[in-house]
Amino acid sequence: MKPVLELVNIEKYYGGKSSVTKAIDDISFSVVNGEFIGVMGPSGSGKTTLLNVIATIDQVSAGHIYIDGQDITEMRSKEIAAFRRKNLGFVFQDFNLLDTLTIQENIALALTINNYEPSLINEMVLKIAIKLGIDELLNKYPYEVSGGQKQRVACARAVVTTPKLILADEPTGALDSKSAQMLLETISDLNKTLETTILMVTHDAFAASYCKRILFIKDGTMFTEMIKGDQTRKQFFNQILDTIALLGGDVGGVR
Amino acid sequence: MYAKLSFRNAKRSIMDYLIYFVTLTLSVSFFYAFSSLSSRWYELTTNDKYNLENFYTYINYATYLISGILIFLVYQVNKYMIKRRKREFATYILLGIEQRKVAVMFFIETLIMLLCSVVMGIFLGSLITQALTALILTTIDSNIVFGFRFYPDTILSTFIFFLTIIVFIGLFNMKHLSKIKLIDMFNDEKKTEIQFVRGKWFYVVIAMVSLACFVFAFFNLERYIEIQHLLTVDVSIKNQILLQTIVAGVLGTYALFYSFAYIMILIKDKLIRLKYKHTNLFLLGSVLSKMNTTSMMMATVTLTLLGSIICFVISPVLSEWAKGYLAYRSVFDVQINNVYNSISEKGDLPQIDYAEVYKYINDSEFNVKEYVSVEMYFLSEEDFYKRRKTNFPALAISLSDFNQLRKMAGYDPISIEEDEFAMQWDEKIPDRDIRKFIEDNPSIQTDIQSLQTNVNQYYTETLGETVFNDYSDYTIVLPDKACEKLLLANINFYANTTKELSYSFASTIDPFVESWFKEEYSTLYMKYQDDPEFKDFVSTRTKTEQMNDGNTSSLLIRVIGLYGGTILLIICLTLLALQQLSDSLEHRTRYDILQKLGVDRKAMNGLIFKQIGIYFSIPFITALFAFSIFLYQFSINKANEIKAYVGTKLFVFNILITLIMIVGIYLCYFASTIISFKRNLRTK
Repeated sequence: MKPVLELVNIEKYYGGKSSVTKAIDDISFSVVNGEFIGVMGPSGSGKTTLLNVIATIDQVSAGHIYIDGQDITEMRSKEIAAFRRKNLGFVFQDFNLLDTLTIQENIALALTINNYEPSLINEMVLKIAIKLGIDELLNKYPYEVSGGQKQRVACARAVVTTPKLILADEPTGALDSKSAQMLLETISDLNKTLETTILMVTHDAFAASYCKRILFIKDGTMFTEMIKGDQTRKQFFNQILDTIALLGGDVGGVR
Repeated sequence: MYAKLSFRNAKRSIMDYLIYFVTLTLSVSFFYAFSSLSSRWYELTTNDKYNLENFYTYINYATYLISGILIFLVYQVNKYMIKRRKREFATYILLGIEQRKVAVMFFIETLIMLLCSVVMGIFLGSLITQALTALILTTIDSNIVFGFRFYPDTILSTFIFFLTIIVFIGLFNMKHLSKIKLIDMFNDEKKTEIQFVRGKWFYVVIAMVSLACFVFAFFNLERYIEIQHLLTVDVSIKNQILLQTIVAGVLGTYALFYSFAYIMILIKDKLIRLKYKHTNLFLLGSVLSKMNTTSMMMATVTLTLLGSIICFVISPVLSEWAKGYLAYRSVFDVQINNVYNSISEKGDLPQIDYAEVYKYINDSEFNVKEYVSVEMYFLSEEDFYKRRKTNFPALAISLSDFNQLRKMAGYDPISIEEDEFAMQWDEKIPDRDIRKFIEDNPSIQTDIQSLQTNVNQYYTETLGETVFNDYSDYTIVLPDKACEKLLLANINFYANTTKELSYSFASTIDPFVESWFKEEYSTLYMKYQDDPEFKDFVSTRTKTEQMNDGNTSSLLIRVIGLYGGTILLIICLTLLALQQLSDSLEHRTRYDILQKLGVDRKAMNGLIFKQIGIYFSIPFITALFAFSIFLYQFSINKANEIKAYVGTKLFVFNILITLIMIVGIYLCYFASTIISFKRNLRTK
């Protein structure tokens, strides 16, 4: 199967002549269509940097990143914005919904930016809203709904344009455990039914246990890779905890 | 140490303080320029024909009145600065600096800025003073001598005035800053208000009320301009109508803007195509979310802008008007006239002999060059009793008196046949109307004979307004012989002197004539002295005094219009810019999200341009629309006066220049707001 995302020997340095910090040191992996992949690692391991370079928000120092066969490291800054809005969907920790628009308009915004036919927009928004169970909130403003609901709106906004790849940065980070669980089930459901490719960065073992494959990163390099395979979520969860302990992380904080 | 920190802050954030600085500097410079006119050190070398005492007094009042508005402006700018820097202050407090000390620090910063802008403002103000001096001197036809001067007393008063404002507002801010909770400082940016507190019908009704107000104001304005020059309508009624118009206009504007956001949302939901076009959704969201809370501010800005445009456009027109009217009125160096209105019996009409007055003027250093005693007659004795304003009779003068008047005013004499009459018309009356009148009334009947005229026998060269009877636009010129047996209505005196009268001598003529008349015609005086109208039986006017009054009022209108217009424009633009800039702090996260969603920089810049453009253009277009209605009414109803006293070309030129200037300044503010806005978006 052709990979949706392919990273080849990417490196990222920060700093000037005197001192150089390597945030990412030679990472390569690929993600195929319909995968739900998690990236884990302790603070400062380079997770967010990795996500940023894939999201075209930041640029790599060396190496290549291919999304759907296109090398984004070779793109000019002008093309990048267009590429981002066509091919990538985002879910952020702090929701990033516009407080000036209703839920319906927030989802529609992603479509209008991509110049969708105006007459189709209402219908498309409604469809995805029903799918994510937020159709009753459509006419409310973000400040009128709960955190979990906001994050589901963010998911709806990310998938409504059917992007090649959805990047989720700690999507459960700002949610309570109940909302987090509901959201993860939603995301996992989207992955299964719509065959959406999702790359999720998290430090939460529980959240990671919903993924099909997990990459562990430590000090900017690939530490290990885990595949869920036929295990139950519970078993996978325990395996993740073991790996975190091996990484030297603090297991006490996770459930 | 804190002083050092605040000084460095002020230096570093000079760009952030730009709007504060510009506003303060402009305010200071205008305040300085106008109050320097009344400085003890201000010397204007005018010749002895002028006395500008009254002018300076009025300027002084206007300065203080308009400066009062500046306090409001400085307060608004201060509020923005606090809002912009709340997070920074919160960080200081978090680091352990006492809240009170942070407030003191901010206070010191504003003081530093004030010092800078006062110094700048005084320099700029000195230039404006020069411009004003030039304006005054050209108005009174003197030569301009430029000199760069400072006036210590004005510098002091400017300084004290603004220091008082800043200290007052600063203390208020200090209290506010030291009371505010830390959590609120951090969260201040996160507030948004989109809710509509009332139901749909409430807003629809408000919109209808607004419309009704405008319709009412429109027709009221029309009525006001129609009756404004009519002497038959009482002044209090005129003022009442004017007040009603203004109140309706103001109310309508506020109501319009109040319901505007809601009406916009109703429209938005209907226009799916427009709403879903690229980033329009975002734009509509940003604009509408604020429209609700800023509508009152927008209405204020619109009204201020309208005031400013009217000040700018109308003041030079009115000023030219005053000057034109002056030329129309003061044709002769001295003119004395009397009106028979207060005399109730035919036999009491006096035969005034002006020999004494002639002697008085001729004996002074300003010898009489030429003079005439003009006798004005009733065509028919019955006319004496026609006292209603609507049927006041036109009077007649003899050809020889008329020709002497024309000669003194610098025109060629005219001639008429024995059975003909000519007419002298008010220059304000359009030719078309005069011709029609003559065609309809080609002959007149005096008590003695009947006479003919034709359309070539009328003259409009101005001979002053005293050649016409009250409420009458024309006077009939009869052959000398035809006047002999007519009843004499009044006798006027006109004289030109060999050189122009000085102001001090000119002002003695009126009291002299009054006391002379009181003595000479004491019986008449005794009989009618209780009649209030009789007090003005004889009135004296000198060209010098009239020029002085006319030029002074012309100047006053011009200067106050300029001052008022500028200050109002500054207020309007500063409020607009401030509103946008303080909103930009809230918009920062929104634009951030948009960028993450994949909107490129070019499209974002377009959005910023559109968003600020909408806010800047709504008040401008509304004000321009209101102004064009005003202009339409004004020019339609005053077309003749404008043509006679100002000149159509000058009128149009005036309007164009003013509008171009306002648009220019507006665009400058617009551009700098966009630059600051983008700057605010970039800073994290």
